[in-house]
Amino acid sequence: MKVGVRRLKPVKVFNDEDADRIHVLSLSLLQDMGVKVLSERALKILENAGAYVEHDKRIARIPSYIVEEALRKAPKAVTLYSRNPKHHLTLDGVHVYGVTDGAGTNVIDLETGKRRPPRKEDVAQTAVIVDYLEYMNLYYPTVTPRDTALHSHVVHEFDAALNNTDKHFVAGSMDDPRVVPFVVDMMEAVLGGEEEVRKRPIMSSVACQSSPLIVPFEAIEPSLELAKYNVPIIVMTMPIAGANGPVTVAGSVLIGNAQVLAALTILELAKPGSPVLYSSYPLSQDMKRGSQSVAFPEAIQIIAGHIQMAKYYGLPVFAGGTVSSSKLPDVQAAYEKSLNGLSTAMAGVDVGIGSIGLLENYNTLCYEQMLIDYEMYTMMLKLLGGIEVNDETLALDAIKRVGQEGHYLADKHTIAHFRETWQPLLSDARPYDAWLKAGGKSVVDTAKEEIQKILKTHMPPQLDKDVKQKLSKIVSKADEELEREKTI
Amino acid sequence: MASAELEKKINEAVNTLDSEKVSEVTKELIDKGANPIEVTNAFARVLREIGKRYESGELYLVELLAAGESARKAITEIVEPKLKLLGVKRETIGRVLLGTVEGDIHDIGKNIVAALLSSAGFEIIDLGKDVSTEKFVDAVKENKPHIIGLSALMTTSMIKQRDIIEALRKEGLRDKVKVVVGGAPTSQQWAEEIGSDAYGADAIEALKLCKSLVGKD
Repeated sequence: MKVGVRRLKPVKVFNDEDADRIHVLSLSLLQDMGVKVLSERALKILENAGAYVEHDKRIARIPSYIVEEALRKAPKAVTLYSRNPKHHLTLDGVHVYGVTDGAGTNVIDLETGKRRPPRKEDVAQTAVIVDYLEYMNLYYPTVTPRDTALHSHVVHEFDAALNNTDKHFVAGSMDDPRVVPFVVDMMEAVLGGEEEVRKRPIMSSVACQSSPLIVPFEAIEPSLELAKYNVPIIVMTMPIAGANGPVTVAGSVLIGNAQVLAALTILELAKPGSPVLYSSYPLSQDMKRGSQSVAFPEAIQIIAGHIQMAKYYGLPVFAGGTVSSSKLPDVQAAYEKSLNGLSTAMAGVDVGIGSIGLLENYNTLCYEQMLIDYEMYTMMLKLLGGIEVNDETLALDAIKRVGQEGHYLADKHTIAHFRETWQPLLSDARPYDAWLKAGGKSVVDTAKEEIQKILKTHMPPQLDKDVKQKLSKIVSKADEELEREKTI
Repeated sequence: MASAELEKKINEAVNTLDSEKVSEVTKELIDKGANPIEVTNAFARVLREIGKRYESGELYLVELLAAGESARKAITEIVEPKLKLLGVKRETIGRVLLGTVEGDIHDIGKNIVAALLSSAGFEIIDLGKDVSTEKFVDAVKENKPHIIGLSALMTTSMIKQRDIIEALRKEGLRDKVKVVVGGAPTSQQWAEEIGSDAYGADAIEALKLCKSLVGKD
């Protein structure tokens, strides 16, 4: 596995005084207007700490000192552990990690090109692809499978991931606290005991807040359970500017920031020192049609604003990335993803520049797009590396050796450094006739062939047979015990 | 020295991609009395193997070029003088005359082609850049190449490719040499329009074409 390194300073999208103001106003919103908390347990945690709680309305007004204290307790550098210790990830503001985009609801079938509901097999296959791609460091299930028991889907996703990659797992839609014991059992099966799980939980979990200012039951209750095992919680805000967030970018940055602080406060009160990641995946409203986009410029700006706020607090940040509202792996997907990805990269994210694979506002998995996004991601990593200037990189000796009219093609300086240059996986630089002769393929065609090759040839690290069996038993048990009332 | 051992030494040296090392090893072999014909043949086999590794995607173009360049240097500077003493001429798979046409000083594409062809075993006569039509024709007369490669980067200079083909025809040389054109503004269509034998879209294509034109593909 390889890891990106940031040498460029993060770009700021507002002044430091503006960040102060967004912080102070977030505190005052939580203290004066209050946040709706749809969990009795979380309300009690807040109340015990000194918040004013109206239980009938489920509103908590949190004094600023409580939030400030929680921010002090949240760790500033977080390690995300993996089954393979070589794949542990330190979120320190310098290293940059790639992840899949996730929790999609549709798949563009690799063979037929037609849209269809996702299957567990898609989770397994995209995990194989992540396992293969060197700069992909975390696996977030790309889709929620529809061919498994619905309420145990997270358990199935974890099972498919563990069987196909030993990289860090991100539970993207852990919406039921009853699921937690099952995923903990699964980690125990893999790591060999509860103590090991607490020492190095091999997963993190997304807690998606609701806009304008709601901490949902589904986000906070499973997180409180997972936090007992030191599982890092990715506190995600997703305001839609002009719909459930203010239409102005600053307003949506503010409301999203207040959401993150509210959930972080509950987590730090419950277990001080819990690792929390600041996360932002906003959208902006198409003012004519009423539909939303993850990639209109306002949405891109809100992410950058949230990244700056995360940096302001010194918190690790998981945000944005190569996202698009396009329905196809087309030109719209390319320009939206590259602009959004680059902006996220420049703003200083730790995880998420390369949120590869999804189209249509995080809804549709496209296998070809996974590799196209990965290509953009590795290009962005190169850009984030900045320009190293020293005697060796200035190449003065080589320049003198070659003189006015020679070339550097086979010069020893070229031989010594050519491997440091970015290498395309898909991009074609051939002239027209050479490209035509090689089949005249679009990048989507090339990506399809590459994906087929990876799926055919890549052998991910395998679990021991008895671990596999343990996992299958846990999955079957989850299918039986987690079933809720049938909707049909 | 057994020829297998000799080839092993050359192979190791060439694979370092270090030209000085290749020359040093070659000189040592020759000084110790190795047969220069055997040395030349060993280089050819080693380069052929490197070429295969390049085609399979294992090696990068710069590695192929560096290997070819270091071998070419060692052979021309160290082995060929010995061959001359023996009255033997080195065998190549073909002689290629190359140049960037008049009015154009862009020669990096032509240089890549030259290095690639050379490492594949062609003898290269490189006329350089901004080469007049007359000079091309004279060089064809003098060197009798199997192939002449005409490079141009600009729409304003590519027309010279047509002039050169025309001049070769007037001089009665057109059927004695194969013409390959290349460069950014050129295309298969242009090559056909001006009566060139082939169009090399890039260096790899140019190499394939040249091999095929001399019947070595």
